[in-house]
Amino acid sequence: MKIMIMTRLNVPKIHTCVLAIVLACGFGSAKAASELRLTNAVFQEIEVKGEDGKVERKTVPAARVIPGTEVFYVISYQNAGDKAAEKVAITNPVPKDLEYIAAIGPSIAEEVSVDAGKTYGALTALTVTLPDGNTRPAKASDVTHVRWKLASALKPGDEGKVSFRAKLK
Amino acid sequence: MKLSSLKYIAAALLMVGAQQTFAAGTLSGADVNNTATINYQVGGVAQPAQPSNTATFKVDRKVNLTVAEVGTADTTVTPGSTNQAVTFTVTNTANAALDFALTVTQDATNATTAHGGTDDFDVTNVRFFLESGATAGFQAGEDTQITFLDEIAADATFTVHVVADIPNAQANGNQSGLTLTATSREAGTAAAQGAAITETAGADTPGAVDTVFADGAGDTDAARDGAHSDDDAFLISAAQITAAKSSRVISDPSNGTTNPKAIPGAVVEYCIAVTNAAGGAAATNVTVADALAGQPVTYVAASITLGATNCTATDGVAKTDAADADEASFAANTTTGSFASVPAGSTVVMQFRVTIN
Repeated sequence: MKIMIMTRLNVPKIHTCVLAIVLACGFGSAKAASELRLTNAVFQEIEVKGEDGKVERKTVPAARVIPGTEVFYVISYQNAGDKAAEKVAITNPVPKDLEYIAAIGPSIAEEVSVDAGKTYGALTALTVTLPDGNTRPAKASDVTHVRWKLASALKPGDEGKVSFRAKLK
Repeated sequence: MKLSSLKYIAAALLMVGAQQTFAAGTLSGADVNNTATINYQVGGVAQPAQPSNTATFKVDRKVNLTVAEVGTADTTVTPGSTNQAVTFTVTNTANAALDFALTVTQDATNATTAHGGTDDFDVTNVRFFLESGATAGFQAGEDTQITFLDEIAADATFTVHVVADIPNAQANGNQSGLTLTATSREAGTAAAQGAAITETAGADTPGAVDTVFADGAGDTDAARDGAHSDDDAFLISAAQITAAKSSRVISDPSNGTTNPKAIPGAVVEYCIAVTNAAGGAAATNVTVADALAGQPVTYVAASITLGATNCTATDGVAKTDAADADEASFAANTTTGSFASVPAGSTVVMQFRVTIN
């Protein structure tokens, strides 16, 4: 997967990227005392007609997705190490082909960014600068990144989930 | 200076390319990948960020299209005219390139046509032409005859003229309604109409591009059938020309111009009024001829006038008798006058004088 990242980057950036990977690999091989695991999965809701003719909504891994289809991502985290992890923050850049709708689940408040991850805040507190220099309130469709900050330390063995909905452009 | 501005343009173009989004949506077959990252500290020391796996799905094919009449009124035609067009746009609103099969269905007699009224006749020799864009509207010499729309990219709109011939002997106000239906086909190879498209049945095929119909119902097709349709109509608008001839005595040898009588030697003014009935088309190149042979009258030289307000007016424009550019002549004992155009609902007048033998 890291090789995949490399191939996507522009040539001038390869150098720094390689450096980053070396650092990451170094930590991986040294087996960090606290290891957080993060998995990401994408789902969609479909309507299924049962044998009794009733239409039921069912969650399935996202597969039949056309422009306008809503999908949702479930990002699961787990502390697989033996030390508590503090100041845990999960960041998910919104893929460019998707339009952010909202985070799901009230357990952890999300912060969003509308400027490619430079600044984060509640969507209602953010503004977008227009070409003429004026600003307007940010909309969900402006969101480029979504971030969740855990309020307390993640103890060994602890796990949780965060989630957001988006629509295929 | 020139070079740097070129560079600037190139950069701007690249940016446009990079930010290109399709109204029809993300192109089918694209993989949408998503990776999250977790940052944390242990004992106050920042740890390297851990990326998640990449969650991915493949964008399926949304088949969608729109057929829309250009304009909001019937195309007015005259009986017997050829190469008359009603015009539609066909837009590929799918997120993939498609071919579109084209078919025309003519309305049944008495069926309600596109803009009110009922169908009276069918047109003949129906063909499709692709608008070239050189001159707006159908131009037989510029637009290309087609049988289907080939390799239409997502979001692209093409203008299609449905071209037909109008039968003779149709009355004013008669209508011929028709419906253009475009049906999605696989883009396939260029210059060949692709295979029919069916929706992917049953469960999704992960990792493969499935096909979903997303089109709305057209005038004669159902929603989500991969086709779309719109109707339009031809309306007969013929010129209906009538001519009325009248005369009045201008003078006689005994009374002069005071209460002149039609006695030998009297001067009589003939008036021919040509009327094009309201509601039809303008009549062009209308020629009026009146043969005096066999009548006991003699033409008064250089007395033809054209364009008088009415038969008793004297504001007509005098014309020469020679067969020249002035639209009127006298030859072989026949007076002739011509009018370039007689609009619907108007009358034109030719006057000339004779003496009674």
